[in-house]
Amino acid sequence: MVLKLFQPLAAAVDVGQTDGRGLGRVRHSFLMLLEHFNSIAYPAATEPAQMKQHVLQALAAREAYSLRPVHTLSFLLDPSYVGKTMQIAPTELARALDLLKFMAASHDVKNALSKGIYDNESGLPAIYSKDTSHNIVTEYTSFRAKTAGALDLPVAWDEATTADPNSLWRTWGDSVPHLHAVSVKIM
Amino acid sequence: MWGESWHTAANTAAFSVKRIESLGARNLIAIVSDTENKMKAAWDELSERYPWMLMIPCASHCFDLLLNDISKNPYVGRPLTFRKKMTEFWRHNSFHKSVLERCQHSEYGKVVQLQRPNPTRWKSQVMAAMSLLKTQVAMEKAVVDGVCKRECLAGGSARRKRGRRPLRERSKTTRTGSSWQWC
Repeated sequence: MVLKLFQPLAAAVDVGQTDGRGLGRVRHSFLMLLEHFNSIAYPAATEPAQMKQHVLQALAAREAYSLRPVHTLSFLLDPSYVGKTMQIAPTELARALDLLKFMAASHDVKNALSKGIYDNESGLPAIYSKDTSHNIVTEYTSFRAKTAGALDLPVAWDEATTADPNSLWRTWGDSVPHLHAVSVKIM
Repeated sequence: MWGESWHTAANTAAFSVKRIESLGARNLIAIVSDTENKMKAAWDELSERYPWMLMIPCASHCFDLLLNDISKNPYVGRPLTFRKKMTEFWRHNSFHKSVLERCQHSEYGKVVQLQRPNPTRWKSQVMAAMSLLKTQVAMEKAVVDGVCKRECLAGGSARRKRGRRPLRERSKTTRTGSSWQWC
């Protein structure tokens, strides 16, 4: 019983140590653990019922402690989770999208600085290219709806491609260039 | 300077800044570390200096802590105590260990090592419980083994006699199905 309870959690410990799609998988692992802890068949007695309550409380507390908006954002930008019915709270979603906009703005600053004439942000002029900031949300919507350019093609969402999100972004990311530039940083 | 003076938040942050600057601050977007208080204080200093940088807690460490949180429940703690006592008993006494290994060999054709969990790596508790379950049948045979009973319960050296009581206890718990069902 206890081993059955713990096995997905032991697998989640390994998820945290993997390279590649680590951050998105961490968010996914918490969702899976919630589902697992809710669905496992607890014996019908007081003590197991108290244990279930304890387990769910511990999970919620640890989730609040561990997760950052970047985990949610990475999860949302991971192609293997696009189209799956997994509930993300609206507040969590809003924080992740705020982070996306913030990263887009930061990317614009980096681009402006890399053109070589400014040493730091304080030296930047009031007007510089903010293409990433302007297009990021539109491209995010197109990506999630699978409607942008080549992302419309079913082959782009083939299981073999989405197994490694980096390969999908490298191959098909040109359809959403600004989102691509930001997403590869957190994948 | 001793470690406790050296590993302060300020020193950790200063060390991180040196490394970040050598890599190019704008080339980095995140720092991952454990969630110790000193590291959290270092995060504050780094966030102030590099506002675009994300401070991310080590996910593996957090899942490990979740395992620990859940283990504190008595219903979960009981099988873990059973596992701990069984592993200690069969590992720490060379005579019992050799009887178990003989039973494992006749049952599985090989020796199945019992894993010893690491105190702060909570996943190792699960791995140790799994390794214990793998050898359940051999253990049940070992506690009723003729040589084991003769040497430990009916005679043998003084040292082996000292092992009688734990063997009786382990024999009882090993043969109790509910102990294994908890696992």
